[in-house]
Amino acid sequence: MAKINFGGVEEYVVTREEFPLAKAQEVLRNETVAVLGYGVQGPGQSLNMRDNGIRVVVGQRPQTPSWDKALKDGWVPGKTLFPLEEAAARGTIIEYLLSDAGQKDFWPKLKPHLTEGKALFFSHGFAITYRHLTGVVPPANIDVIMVAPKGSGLSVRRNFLEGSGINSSFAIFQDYTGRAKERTLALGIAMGSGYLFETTFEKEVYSDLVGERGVLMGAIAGIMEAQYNELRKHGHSPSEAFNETVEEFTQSLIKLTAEKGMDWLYANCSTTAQRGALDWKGVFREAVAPVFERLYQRVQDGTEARIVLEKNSQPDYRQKLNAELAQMRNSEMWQAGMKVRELRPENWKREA
Amino acid sequence: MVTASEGKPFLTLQNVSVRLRDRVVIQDATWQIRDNQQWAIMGPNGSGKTTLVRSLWGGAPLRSGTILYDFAGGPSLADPSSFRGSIGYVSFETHQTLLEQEEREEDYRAYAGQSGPGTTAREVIRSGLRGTRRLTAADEEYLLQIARLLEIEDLLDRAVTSLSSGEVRKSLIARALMKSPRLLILDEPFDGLDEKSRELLEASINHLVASPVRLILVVHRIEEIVPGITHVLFLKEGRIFRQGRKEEMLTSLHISELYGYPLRVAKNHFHYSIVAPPALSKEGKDLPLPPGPEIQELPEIFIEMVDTTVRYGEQVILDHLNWTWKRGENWAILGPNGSGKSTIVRLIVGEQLQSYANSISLLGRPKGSGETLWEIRKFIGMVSSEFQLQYRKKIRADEVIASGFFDSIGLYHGLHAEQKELVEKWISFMGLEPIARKSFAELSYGQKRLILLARAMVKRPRLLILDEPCHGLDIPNRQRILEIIERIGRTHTHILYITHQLEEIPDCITHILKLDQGRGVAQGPRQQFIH
Repeated sequence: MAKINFGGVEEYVVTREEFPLAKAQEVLRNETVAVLGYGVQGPGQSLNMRDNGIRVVVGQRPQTPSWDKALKDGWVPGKTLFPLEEAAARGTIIEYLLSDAGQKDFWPKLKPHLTEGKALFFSHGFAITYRHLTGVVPPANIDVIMVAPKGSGLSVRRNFLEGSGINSSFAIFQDYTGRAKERTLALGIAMGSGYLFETTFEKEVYSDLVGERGVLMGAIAGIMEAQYNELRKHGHSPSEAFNETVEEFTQSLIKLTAEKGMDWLYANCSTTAQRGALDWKGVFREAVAPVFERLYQRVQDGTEARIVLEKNSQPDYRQKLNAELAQMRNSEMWQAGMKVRELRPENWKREA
Repeated sequence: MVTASEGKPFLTLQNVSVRLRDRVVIQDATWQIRDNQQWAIMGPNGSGKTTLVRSLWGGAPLRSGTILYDFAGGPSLADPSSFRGSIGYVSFETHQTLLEQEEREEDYRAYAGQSGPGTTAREVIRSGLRGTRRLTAADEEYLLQIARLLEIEDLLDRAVTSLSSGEVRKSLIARALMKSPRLLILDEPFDGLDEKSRELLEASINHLVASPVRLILVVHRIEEIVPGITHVLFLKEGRIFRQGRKEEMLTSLHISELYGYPLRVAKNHFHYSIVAPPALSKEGKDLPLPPGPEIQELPEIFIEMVDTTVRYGEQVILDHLNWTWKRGENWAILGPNGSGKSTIVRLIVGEQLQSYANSISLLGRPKGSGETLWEIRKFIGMVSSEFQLQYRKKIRADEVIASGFFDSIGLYHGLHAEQKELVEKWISFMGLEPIARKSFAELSYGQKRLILLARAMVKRPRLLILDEPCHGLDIPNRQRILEIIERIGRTHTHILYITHQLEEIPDCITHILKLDQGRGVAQGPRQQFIH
């Protein structure tokens, strides 16, 4: 494994140079990988493995749009495409790629097919980490492993076809056969990873849940709303408030951050922006630090997972959710955003 | 004084210069279109043709000079982009923009875990109408008329991503017509169209010429200057080289001067053609080929398709095709737009996933028998419009050539000394020095084509798949490429050639497969088809 220094902390990563495709093929030579669920992650992973010469079958509920998509993608019913249970019976490695709620529901039907020596594979640590809530408690005589690509299912496929690759994390929860690690790495390489770094099921799911509740989605929306409201309170127009809160960030600053890092952004902006941003960065950090502390605690103790599972099992949840989403969609800020997007030059240029 | 025979000014360019990034692409262009004229633009690859016509609708900002939109009721100095509604524009670029939009829509759907067919041809054509107003019954009727004119009624409800490049091109022309433009700019509109569609388009253009619509036609092939064209503009190195009446422009002397290469122009009734251009590569530089296998080391059967069918639901793209490509044979595939030609290519290179649901063998290995995509691709070089559309990386042109060693889009590996040397040899062999160190994204369509040909050849593929390789090439470049292909066809690299231009089929092609509506209607040795 290559040792890489991340800002002073060393981590081990596995690259496809040290674990080449030929080795992955050798490790998986006598395996059949059953990919259960042809939804978001299923197509990219299964298509890449098939194109890398691995024996793959797909499991999907018949007469669904995803089943039709699988047909279009060249999976053949009765040969490489089966209903979920039949695919599970055929697989020696079972990729469990149903949604978090779907994994909980299907588990009683999957369990009988998890016979000695098979591997149960996840791309997300949720079901196993919160097994006291999901009931996904695997038998002791199988391997339980994970590879989580850091990108959408579509980018897993696109990067593969371009000849680049995607970064993934991997974890081993249970090693019954003594081959869990090589199976995991082989699957990671075969599905198109450029390099893999090690994590645990718990760390993967904790960081994922904290991230989406925090900076990636929850915190960012909350902080934008707070600033927008404050600007509006002082008589700024909706378009001005939106531009200074969202548009400038998404259209320019976040792209520069992606390419150069936020340190570069700070070092190269106007002196007015620079002084202010440096002074206020700490104020915000201190203000939200207790919120992140509470968030991590609730993710760790299972509160967040329990809420997700409970809500999803309520019969009227869909209705309530739609009302919540409509409220956000119809808020002045996001309505203003829609107009601002329409006014972007590239959107009126499109005509010609 | 304007006399009736001169016509009234329609559009006037005065000392127009256009800069793209750090480069002045058009310099000091002065040009007037009068309302009784129809223009064609010709010029070598990279001379600025596309940039010039883009500047007319605001797609390329002026650095200096003015454009007067006389047709808007008196000379108007308004921002060119405000005339977008009255200018229809179709080019390779609009094609690319459409597919990029579709790709983004696919991203959105994938993120949301939805599947959907994507935008249909009908929706694309409708979007030609300005604004977001609902279409009236009259608009819908007009749309159908246009669709009938271009013979694409049957495609209207299909997703544009499932159409062949010729079919997309026709949909884009329909979209431009939908807005009843005053000025219609068609940048290489005939590329990608089959013979029947070319005749149809020519008839439609002649029909338009008689209407109040003014036309600007950008073409590489002199044959495509339709009879209704009255004037021709020559562009060379970003400057207007010559302009005037068609009969005075399309002479052997002027055309030879434009391309810097001796050419003879013939005229037959209203049509012009180039009489067999002289060979370019008689100096006999060796093809820069790395050592390859002996012929007997190659598999006896390259490709075998047994009863091969590709379908999307009810729609059959390829219908029970049986075809075998053996060692020693070079094939051409002929057939109208949408007949399945590109599908065969996509099955071979692994882009059409239903290859796994068929009985296909590639280079001696049955598809789906544990081979990898890369084991097959490493033996194949490919040039096609579809592939060119996919190659959207902001890297240097010589790096694009080098990516041919790895069959990647983008360059993710370092090069050995021998690989570097081969890249340089191909650059020199094809005369690509002036563009090789430029950013690939900034090259013109024809220049990109040349780079991708070098990319396909650099690793000395066993199979070279050429799907309309001459699209977008000017006359000398077309000639140069055809000569190179002819020479490659006599090496151990075997060729699969797809074209709508029968006269373009290289002599090295030994066999022909004819397709129609997904079915193989005839196949056999060349002599049975071309005499």
